[in-house]
Amino acid sequence: MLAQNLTAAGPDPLAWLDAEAADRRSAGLHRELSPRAADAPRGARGPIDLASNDYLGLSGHPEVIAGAVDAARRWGTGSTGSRLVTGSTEEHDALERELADFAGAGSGLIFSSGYTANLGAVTALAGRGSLIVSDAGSHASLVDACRLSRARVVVTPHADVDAVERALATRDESRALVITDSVFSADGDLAPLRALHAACRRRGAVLLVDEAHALGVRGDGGRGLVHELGLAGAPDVVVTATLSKSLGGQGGVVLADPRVREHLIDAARSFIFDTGLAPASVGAARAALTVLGREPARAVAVLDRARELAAICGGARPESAVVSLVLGDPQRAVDAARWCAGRGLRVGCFRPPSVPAGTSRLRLTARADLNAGDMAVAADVLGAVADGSWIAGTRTAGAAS
Amino acid sequence: MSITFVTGTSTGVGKTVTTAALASVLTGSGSVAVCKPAQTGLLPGEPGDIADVVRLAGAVTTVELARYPEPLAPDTAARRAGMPLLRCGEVVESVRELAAKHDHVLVEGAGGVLVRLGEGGFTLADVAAGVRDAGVGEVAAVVVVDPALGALNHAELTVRALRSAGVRCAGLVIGAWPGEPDLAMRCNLDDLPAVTGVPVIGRLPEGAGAMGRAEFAAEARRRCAPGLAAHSSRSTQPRPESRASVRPPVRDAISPASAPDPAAGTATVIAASAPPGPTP
Repeated sequence: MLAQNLTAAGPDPLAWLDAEAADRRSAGLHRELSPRAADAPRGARGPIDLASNDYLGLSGHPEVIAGAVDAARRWGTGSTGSRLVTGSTEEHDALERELADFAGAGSGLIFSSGYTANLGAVTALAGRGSLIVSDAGSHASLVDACRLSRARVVVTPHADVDAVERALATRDESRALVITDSVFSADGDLAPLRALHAACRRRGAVLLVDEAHALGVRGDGGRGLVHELGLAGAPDVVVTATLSKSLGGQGGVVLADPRVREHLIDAARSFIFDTGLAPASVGAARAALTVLGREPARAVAVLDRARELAAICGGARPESAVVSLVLGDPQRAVDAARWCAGRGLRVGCFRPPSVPAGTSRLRLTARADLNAGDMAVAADVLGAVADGSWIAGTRTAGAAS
Repeated sequence: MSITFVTGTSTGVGKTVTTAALASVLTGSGSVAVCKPAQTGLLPGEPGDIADVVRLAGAVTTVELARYPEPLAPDTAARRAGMPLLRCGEVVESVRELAAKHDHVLVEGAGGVLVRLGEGGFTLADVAAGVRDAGVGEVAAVVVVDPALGALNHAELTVRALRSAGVRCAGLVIGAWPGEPDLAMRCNLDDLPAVTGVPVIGRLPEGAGAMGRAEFAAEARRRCAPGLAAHSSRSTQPRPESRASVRPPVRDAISPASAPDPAAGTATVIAASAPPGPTP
């Protein structure tokens, strides 16, 4: 071993990692990556995906793949630099306009991910001396953006409009930014956007809405919840979204008033100091948007499938593609997820701290391209988890009873 | 009064277990008789398909009209054994008699729909047409389908054969749906209604034939009852969704042309409209 020949040194500076890993293991919070195999060849028993964010089934759509390939051939593999230097192509420019048109926004600005879009938008719109009011259920990227912003941050209870209004009313700061997801990722519930927007209007604040889980799922043809509620294009509403879920690719976008876009180009650090989104990802998103524009029924189908999954699980009618089958105990949820995987169903498993203690669950995401046969399998397998018969040894394989 | 002919896309696709499931469900709404015109591959006294139906479904009247020792098409088996061939008229008459005394009659064919059952090469489709012409009740056929690759062609051929005999096809039943269906099966379940023009009204799990009577009855109610209700009412309207069911209707919103699939789980039942009548 080469390491032993090095100069003798003091204690291992990485020993603390082992202690932390042991703590996580004992708390049942250790996680491991499980690399997916390429999908089984046609005719083989590939798993049915109820775990990914590929809501509209576009990540494998031939037209979307072709969009990525064509853009890579045309522009190369990388964008070659910051968006401010060489990283902006005509492809980026076209996608920004197409996304803004689709969502009914004044303008669009592409980031390398939804995460960096949130970091860039929040930190540029709320610096030192301003107030951020953030929903307790806001996505981690919004939480991190709050931490980076140097603004005063008030976290309000989930979906509590009165608390938001109080925080805005009692502030000393002149500028305020209210941030929320439109569809919350753990439960799939909707933010009270109309009421939040009204409160922002009354109190002179800007509303920033993360539509990551709503784009392609809510609204006319998948235009998002902001569009559905008639708030699209309002100058005091800033929308962030991802190209990686319904649009099947990679990247993020901020959809806002042109003045906001101009400001972000000058001030958003995750825009300025990051390499522009790769051309292939831009091409994929443009193709996905074309498919969605032509086939708006996909956005209807994903909600239909979600409602069918919820009916199987005996849960409440979902308002998004996210459906929970709450089992309570974390180990039981892990076991159930594994049991489903063994029966050809890939499901997500959410445990604390992602969800409150005692609500460990299977987290299912509906996809527009699930067919009747896929749903039949889901009904058999999830039906057995929902009624507890998956645990009984009396069950015949595959027959939910 | 309903008279349902149970045929299949081939032999061994689950006709008997489907007949039992239908019988089990129908006993909830009246008296049931099951007729097996021709049983092959068994000697006198051995338990046949009828015995399986009774074991699974319980109290039903049963009639077996002919039995031949070799597992072959009935007319071939009869000739090789030197036994009398069935006649279409006697089968029709037997079904008519059962129909006079029962609320529901199920007639289980042998093999596929065009298998020759006896004299003159008559088939189950001929029997169904004869019973229909006798005017003793609502006549329909149910086609049991093996969901594996090849199902679309076999199912469409069978439904077309019934149609050309002027027999209404009430729907398809998957006779043995495996615990881990492959891609072809999953796609077939989606495509079957589209290619045949009739809904999938039931989907029995593989191994259902080995269940006890109570478990089988519950399974049959869940898997076939809603589809059957649609078939007997011949409704073309979706019914109101029942809260009790944990299994939703499945339809493909991406291709609106595809037929609804009440089988893939189902509180709302949507019956396909009746296929066109006899073509001259």
